[in-house]
Amino acid sequence: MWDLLIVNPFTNTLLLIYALVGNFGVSIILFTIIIRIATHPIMAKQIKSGAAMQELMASEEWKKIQEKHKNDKEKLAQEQMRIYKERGINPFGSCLPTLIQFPILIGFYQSIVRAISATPMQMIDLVRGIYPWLEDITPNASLSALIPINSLFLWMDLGQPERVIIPGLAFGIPVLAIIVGLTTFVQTKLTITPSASPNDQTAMMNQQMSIMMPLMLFYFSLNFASGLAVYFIASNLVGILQYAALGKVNWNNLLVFGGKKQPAAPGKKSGK
Amino acid sequence: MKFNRLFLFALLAMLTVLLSACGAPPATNWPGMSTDGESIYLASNSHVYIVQASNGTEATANISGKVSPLRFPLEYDAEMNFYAPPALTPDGLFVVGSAAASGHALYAADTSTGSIRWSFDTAKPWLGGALILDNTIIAPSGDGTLYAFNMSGSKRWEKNLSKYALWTTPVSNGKYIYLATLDHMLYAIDAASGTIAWEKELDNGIIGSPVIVEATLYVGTLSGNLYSIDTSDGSSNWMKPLEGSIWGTPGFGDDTVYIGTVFGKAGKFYALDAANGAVKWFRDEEGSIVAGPLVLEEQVIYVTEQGRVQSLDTSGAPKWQDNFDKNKIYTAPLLVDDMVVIAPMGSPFLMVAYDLNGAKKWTFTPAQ
Repeated sequence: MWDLLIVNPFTNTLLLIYALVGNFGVSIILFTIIIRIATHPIMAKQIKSGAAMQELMASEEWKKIQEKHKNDKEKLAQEQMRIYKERGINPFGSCLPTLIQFPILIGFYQSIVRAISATPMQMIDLVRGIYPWLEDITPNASLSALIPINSLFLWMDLGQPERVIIPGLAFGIPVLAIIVGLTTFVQTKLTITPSASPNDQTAMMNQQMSIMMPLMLFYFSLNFASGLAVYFIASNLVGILQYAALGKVNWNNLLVFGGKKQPAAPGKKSGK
Repeated sequence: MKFNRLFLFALLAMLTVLLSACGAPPATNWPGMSTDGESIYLASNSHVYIVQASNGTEATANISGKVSPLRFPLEYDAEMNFYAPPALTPDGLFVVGSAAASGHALYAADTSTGSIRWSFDTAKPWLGGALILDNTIIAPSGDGTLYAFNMSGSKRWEKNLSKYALWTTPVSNGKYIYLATLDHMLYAIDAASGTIAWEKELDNGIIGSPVIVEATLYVGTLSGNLYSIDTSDGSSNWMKPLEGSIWGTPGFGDDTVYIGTVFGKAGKFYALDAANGAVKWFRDEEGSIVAGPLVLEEQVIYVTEQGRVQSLDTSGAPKWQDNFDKNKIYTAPLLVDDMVVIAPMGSPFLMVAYDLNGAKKWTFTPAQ
């Protein structure tokens, strides 16, 4: 079922784009943009939820319960949950856009691995999964035109983990993985909802996310097919652009460590 | 709060595991088998196992005063993964390349001790088997180059043939080496010099090696077209489109070419007239037929992805069969003396041997 609903459609979309543009790396980037656009409404909803959270944290009621229950964390949490419920706010609003990427990410990764087919056994699933009607769209999408897929993009083989070999160095530099880590960090920092109190639950979660996500995606990029790293980078950059287009990028957050709130730039609607 | 933090960590850890489990390197492939008549060499994931054909037990060697299973490598090594059929040299070596995610070397190891005599590193994995021809080892690499070495590992020549990996095992008639590639090409290469004698573009990728019968090559493509090609100049005698795609090496016997196909999840097994490609008979199978068949005097044996071992007589009537319902079989059956050996995947047994009437003789499970 997973194959039928996720992996095969993803693989065929990737292959169709590849057939049209003739470059698998570009195909990954374009498909990433399509996925980002398709999931934009969910993201916009979560941004709205994040804005409501900010508004809540600036409210008198919120400040009052912080003060009143500062020595009773359990009670404070209960009161916070009550207010969330009353106002219809999801406290994990800023994490969710990142987390909902994961099923897509897994499907996308499987699609890349399948399309590139590093072994004959992997190629069996590819050959079986190619929609016959793709070649009606373009002759370049027929089985014989598609196989073998050219997995070379810039200096990378998209089916292999990426390393840049520098003469004199005994090991390769994982340039792409480093870029993934950096762009993920920047995206997470730019788009998380700041908290009124560095000690509250949301702030701590956000703080953890801003560290764990870049590390985790760095690890993935270090060890898995570099096609996945291309997806991460494209996704991060498009994500930042989406947030910027919605006026929700908070550049001040880049300088914030430990969940301390930074005021938004004067005169800016975004970044609260 | 503690719960939520734990939940977040657990979620991320779970996602890491999920992603790791869904196709991460190292890539896997079906096992490769070869034999010298006395032993069977099985390249299956982390090891090449050397198994005594007579009883299916793993051969042993006295290494530093300790009796150990004769396998390569002796201990697990993350930089070694083997799928190609090991090639056996006259001077007691087996040659096999590694397709591990981080280790891409061609190894020549001693058949009596399993120790490495020499190795040759490349940047890409080795999936095709090597060919031994007149004291020359000819090995197709994942970097698209065909390499020729002498028995001590010195390179004689190399020929870059493709920007894609070379997956098929080369075959030879003594004069030329024939190699089929994923990018639709069939090459005839001069065995002595490595120069291309002729090349022919077919209609699709080629996964199975050609078979040579006198002056003719038979080879199939992923489009399902089976070709008969003249070995001397690459001209086509005939081409027959079959239902499904062809993944294995065709079999030949009594002026008949046998080949199975992958037709969705199902398969078809064909017997064709070698002279003109006319279909003599065919048989539908529930499972895809990826591997090439084994053709014997009075029977032809093939395996299916659904775990069936099927023997037919030369008219296509069933002789005997066995089923591994939960396992898949992609490796071509191997004739060893008077036995047929198969290598199922996902089974507790890495190999199963039958006599020619289908009676099970032994199974092989490596000792831990």
